[in-house]
Amino acid sequence: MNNRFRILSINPRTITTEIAIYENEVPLLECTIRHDVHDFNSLSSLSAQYTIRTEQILASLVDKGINLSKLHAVCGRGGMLKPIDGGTYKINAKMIEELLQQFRGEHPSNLGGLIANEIAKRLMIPSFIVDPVVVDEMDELAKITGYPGITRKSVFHALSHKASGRRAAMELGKKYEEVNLIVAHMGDGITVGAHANGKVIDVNNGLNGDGPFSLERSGTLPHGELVDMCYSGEFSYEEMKHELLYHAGLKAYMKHSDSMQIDQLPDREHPDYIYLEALAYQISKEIGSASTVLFGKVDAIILTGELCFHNHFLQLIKERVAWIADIMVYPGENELQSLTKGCLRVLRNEEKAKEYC
Amino acid sequence: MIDQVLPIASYHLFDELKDGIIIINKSGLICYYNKRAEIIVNQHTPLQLNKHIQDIVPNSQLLRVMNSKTYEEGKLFAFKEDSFHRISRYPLIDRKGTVIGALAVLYDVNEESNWANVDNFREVINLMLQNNAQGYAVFDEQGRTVLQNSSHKSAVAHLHLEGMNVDMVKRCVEKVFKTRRQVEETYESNTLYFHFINMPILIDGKLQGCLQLIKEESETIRLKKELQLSKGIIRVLEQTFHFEDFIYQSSMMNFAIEQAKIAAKSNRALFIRGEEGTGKCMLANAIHNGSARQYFGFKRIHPKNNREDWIDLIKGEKYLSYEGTIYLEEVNSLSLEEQVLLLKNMKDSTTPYELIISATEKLERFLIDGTFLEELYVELMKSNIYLPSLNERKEDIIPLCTYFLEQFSREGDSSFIPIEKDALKALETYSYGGNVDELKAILQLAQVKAKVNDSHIKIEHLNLTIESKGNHHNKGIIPELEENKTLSDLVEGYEKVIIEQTLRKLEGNKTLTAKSLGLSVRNLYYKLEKYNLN
Repeated sequence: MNNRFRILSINPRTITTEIAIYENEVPLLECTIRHDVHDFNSLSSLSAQYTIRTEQILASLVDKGINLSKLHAVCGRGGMLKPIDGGTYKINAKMIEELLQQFRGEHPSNLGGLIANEIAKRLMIPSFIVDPVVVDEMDELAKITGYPGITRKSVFHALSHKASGRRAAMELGKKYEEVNLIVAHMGDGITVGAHANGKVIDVNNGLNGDGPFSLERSGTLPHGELVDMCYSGEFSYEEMKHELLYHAGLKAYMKHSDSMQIDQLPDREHPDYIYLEALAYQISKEIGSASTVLFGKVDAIILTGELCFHNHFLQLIKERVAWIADIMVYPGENELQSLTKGCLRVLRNEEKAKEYC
Repeated sequence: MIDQVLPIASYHLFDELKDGIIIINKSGLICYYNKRAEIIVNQHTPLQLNKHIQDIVPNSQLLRVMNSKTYEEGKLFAFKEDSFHRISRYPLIDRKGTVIGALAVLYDVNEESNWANVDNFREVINLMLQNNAQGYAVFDEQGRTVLQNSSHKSAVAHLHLEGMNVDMVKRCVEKVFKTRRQVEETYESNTLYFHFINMPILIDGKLQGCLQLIKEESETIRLKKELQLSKGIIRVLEQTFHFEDFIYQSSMMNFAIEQAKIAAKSNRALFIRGEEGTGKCMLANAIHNGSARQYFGFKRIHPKNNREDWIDLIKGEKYLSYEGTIYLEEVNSLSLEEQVLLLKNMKDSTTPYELIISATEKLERFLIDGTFLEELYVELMKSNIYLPSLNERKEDIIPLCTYFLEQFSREGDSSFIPIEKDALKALETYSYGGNVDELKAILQLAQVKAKVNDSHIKIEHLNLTIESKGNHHNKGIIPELEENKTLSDLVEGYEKVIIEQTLRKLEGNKTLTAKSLGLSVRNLYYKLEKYNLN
């Protein structure tokens, strides 16, 4: 019986594609393929890029001396599908159709499923997507806002949440489906999710102004002032959106830096230090509120994402939330690894691949 | 007398000068100018005697010099923005020390006003040359060195050290003189790579000399070679091959590879014949990788070992949309019924995949026996490649030995173990039953033995005992042909004898036995159990 699985994982970005080949948990190769934007210009839609990207990925692997026929499965970052439960999904015709037509929105991750499918078809091996951004396991209760026309939506970095949740459960010696966790993913956007028995029953929408602010995004704003600002005539609709997504957050307070990098965060002596403290304060508050979602029965708090590389910042959060539960820190995004693990669980029959329908 | 003549003579002399002279008196009025000054200044405003100098030349500094009583030489002066002159100014002081006027000397130096004059240029070029990593040298039309930078000097010194004739430099220059065209040449040794670019210096169509540029690309080339090597190693580990991964010098092998390159461009089913260990699968894989199907799968199917895939291929629908390559091994092991199905498959032009079929045994034998379809045989032979056995290409043995020994030293992370001449000779005359695989196994064992004794590979390290002389190497091992025995029975009998003999030869060491037979240890144990050899 073959117990070594070789998996190609694909994470498409705007103009690059990150790929990795794993043999079980061991990465054999990880690289980023830079595409030529000119190749994309003539295409009618983002999803049409999949053929060009596929060719370039295969050419790069062959050039490196990789034997394509040794692959057992291909795994892509899922795309904008209908809201679904988390897990590993077998790529099927319906999914391909929706990703190609971009029914539910344009996003580079749509290409993940399309490329994985194309490569798998050529090599006659199975293909999967794992925990796409549209994972929706949110409790009905949590969706209610306070104004009937508006409901809360589950849009978050599901792949990172699920992978770090599973990892933490394993380290606790339990099944992911048996633990209560709070996961704070702190990357471009910051999302804090309450994981109850393997489901993310509540999570803030980091993209649409819900929850703590982040390096560049505003987070929740008092809506009175926000409405005033929208109607001040100073901003158009697009400008307003852009302002809150890219010119807000920590970056907006620290006016003297164009881009926010982890290593540029202010230290204790810095005049802008208070804004870093505020960031940690808001995240802690969000973690605190997630703990009430779980009735205080929290097995662990998990901090993950790029911001975890900043030790002092972590300390600021830890001192506020350490009383809730043990804290586990998994720095970085590790998307390719997370994809591979999702795929391995299915290949090893630890989990059944879900069918998208 | 002379006192009277002198001033007049001086005025005439001044008119002959190439520089312009203007004299003013104490109150700044022009009291003299020579002809040249008139020409220079008149381009802008007419010079007039007894006019104030600043009425004529508003930005004149002559008054300042007169008042400060200090002369200045060679200053730049602009009548207009784009018209520069050099000017020297002297206060005129009598014997009592009183200032009586001032004198200006104008050089007509319009061309010098530009910063990029010849001197500056020479200096810049010199700086550029001396600080350049590329070697530059200029030769005159006689071939003599006019200019040479340090990089060029050191490149020539390197070439000299290599024992390489410095003539290379001269030869290139001569070639340029002969052809009057740019000449490019390269010099390559194990450690050095120089790229020579030689350009003729043509002025008004006349050859004035030659500019030679030497680029040292040793590091780039070394890295490129290293990258190629690494990729080659990865390909071996990954079991994916290119045509360049074959080691050969023989014409027979060359012919086979050329045929394969052509086959890679066609979509026709291909048949590869050759003994065990001649590299049929490797060739099939190289053909796949050299074809348009390289980004599709390469599926290896053995009709006995991969039963399911084989049935799928001839009966199922699994491969109906597969655009990769299917490599079908051991076509000789098929039953007549299966052969019919394969023939049908081969004749079906709608199959999207490329079929490469191989056989270890000579099919003719089975034709005579009546166990092989003649029609299938004809179909196979339409497009076939014969891979020569190692005995048929003895000239490839030495390059293969070098290749394998290098590979072992890399894998074992040890130094390269050379092989002695008579040992090589023995290897060349030996008759190989298992072809390249056998050669590899012999060398692998030999280098282990040599390493233990810390010596070169000697003839006694080689295990050439299996009926080494003549072509009857199979005699004695092959089980007697008995009636009622199927091919697989016979093959199994042969396999048993081989394993037994090797095991005995290696004093029961199972790891070495597995290695020398190209088996995994686990597989060997399985076979030992199967044949009751424990």
